[in-house]
Amino acid sequence: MNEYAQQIIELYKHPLNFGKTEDADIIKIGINLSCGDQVSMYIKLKAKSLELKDEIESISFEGTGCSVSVASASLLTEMLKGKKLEEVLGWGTMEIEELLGVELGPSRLKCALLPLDTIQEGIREAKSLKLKGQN
Amino acid sequence: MLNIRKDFPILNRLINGKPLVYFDNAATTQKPNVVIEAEANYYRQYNANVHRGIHTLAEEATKMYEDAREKVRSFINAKSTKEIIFTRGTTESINLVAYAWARSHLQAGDEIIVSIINHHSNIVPWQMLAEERGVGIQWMDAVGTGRDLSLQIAQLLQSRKIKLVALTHASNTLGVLYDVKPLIKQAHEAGALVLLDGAQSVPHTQIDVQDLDCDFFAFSGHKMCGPTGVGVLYTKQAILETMKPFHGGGEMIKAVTKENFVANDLPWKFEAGTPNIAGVIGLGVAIDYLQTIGWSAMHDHEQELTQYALEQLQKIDGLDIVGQPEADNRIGVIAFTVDGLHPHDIAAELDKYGIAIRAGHHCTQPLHTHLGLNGSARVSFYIYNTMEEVDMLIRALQQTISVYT
Repeated sequence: MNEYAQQIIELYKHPLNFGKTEDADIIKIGINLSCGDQVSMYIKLKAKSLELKDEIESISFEGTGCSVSVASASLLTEMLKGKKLEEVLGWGTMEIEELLGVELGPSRLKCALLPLDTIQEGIREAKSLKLKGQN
Repeated sequence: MLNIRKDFPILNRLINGKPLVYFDNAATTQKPNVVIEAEANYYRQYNANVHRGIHTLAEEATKMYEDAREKVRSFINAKSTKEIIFTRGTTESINLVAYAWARSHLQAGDEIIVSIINHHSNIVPWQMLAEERGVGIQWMDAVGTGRDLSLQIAQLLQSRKIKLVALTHASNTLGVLYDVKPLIKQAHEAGALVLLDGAQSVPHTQIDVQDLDCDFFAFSGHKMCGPTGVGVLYTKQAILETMKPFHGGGEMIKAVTKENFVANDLPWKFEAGTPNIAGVIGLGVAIDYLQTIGWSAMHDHEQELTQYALEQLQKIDGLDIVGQPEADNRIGVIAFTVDGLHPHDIAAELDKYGIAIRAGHHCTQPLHTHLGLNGSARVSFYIYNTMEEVDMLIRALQQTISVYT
């Protein structure tokens, strides 16, 4: 087993940033329709402005998932600390595969992307709600 | 054990450097050479459209296509070939009933009993109908093998609004082959028709639709050594005669004018457009192939594998069989969970050993939810699997568990 595969299993057994964040600015639940797995992402923002330049203070997550989705959520929640929202929204498959260090087939890719998709969806939703609120 | 592995070329494949152990047969089975050749031969030697041309190739193709219909009729013991409709598979067969029968026979306020063990293909068409026409769905959530089913169906049938009971003959998750005959009788006594999803039973047990007395019976070719993209809907002739066409187009008509059309005779009325001719011919050859092996040999083989696998799997710490762990009344389908191990990870790890299994909810999400499961891993056997392969599975599972927990 290579070090990346080993890392995935280690993160599955001992996930990073796992748990609820009560005072999160954005809370979003994501579901992987192909397997029914569910992940909740709790995002705290530095300026709480939801502007594109606003930065992520911290993210935590909870839910059920396979090793790939749990490892992806663990690494992602670490890596996104301090990142600007515009940068977070620009992330995609390439960044996730780089993070995990493995190439993934189409069905496993859905597992790996679930945390990122959920974070991005949460940010977009919060932004559009805020826009509606201003009108 | 049967000596037929040589008939299946794919079984020579190496997966990740290991010989393929194919345990995903409930999803689709592998194809023997005779079926692959039958499809190729149609394209090589007598490719033509059916029922239309007057030339030699068209007549040859039509004869082979209709011969396959007779093989299917005899395979499930239908009274007449008029009752055998070729479709794309079980899903289309059930949708055909939902559109061509239910939409002209059911009204708002009528009800359908749907079993919780059903595959999504025997749930969603009824939910679509319910949404569109205001038809009610009554869930039958008993999952046992005997008396609880018949008690619950009796209770549900007290509502005289029930027009259809949508059942599963063999569960693709629990592996149970249900004794549906008494349930069908109960439904008929209450004036309801019965649709039976036979996708998982047809590959494993001899079907007699007249003895079962079901009104609709749906199955696929690809789960019984046949090609993908071809399936069958059996419907009692008296009911077919009251049904409206499904798709409109060529083949399903006798005459078309600017004002109107005259529908074709049974069964072609329900086979609009050019059918999957090669697939139908391949299905006929798959039936021949299975009949050459014989039901009792297939049954003994599968029973032996299933019993052995159930015993060995249950020896593994933290492994739970989904449903009843007995080998009686069972097809070769075993779903299980392992503490601390996600089904996806089980499947991905086993793949490294060349072992193909299914992970997820197997298109039975309501059943998994009912059982309090997020998903499960599933192994499913067919005629070419061996005891040695079961041993490989058990070893690979033990190694996987030791890495993850």
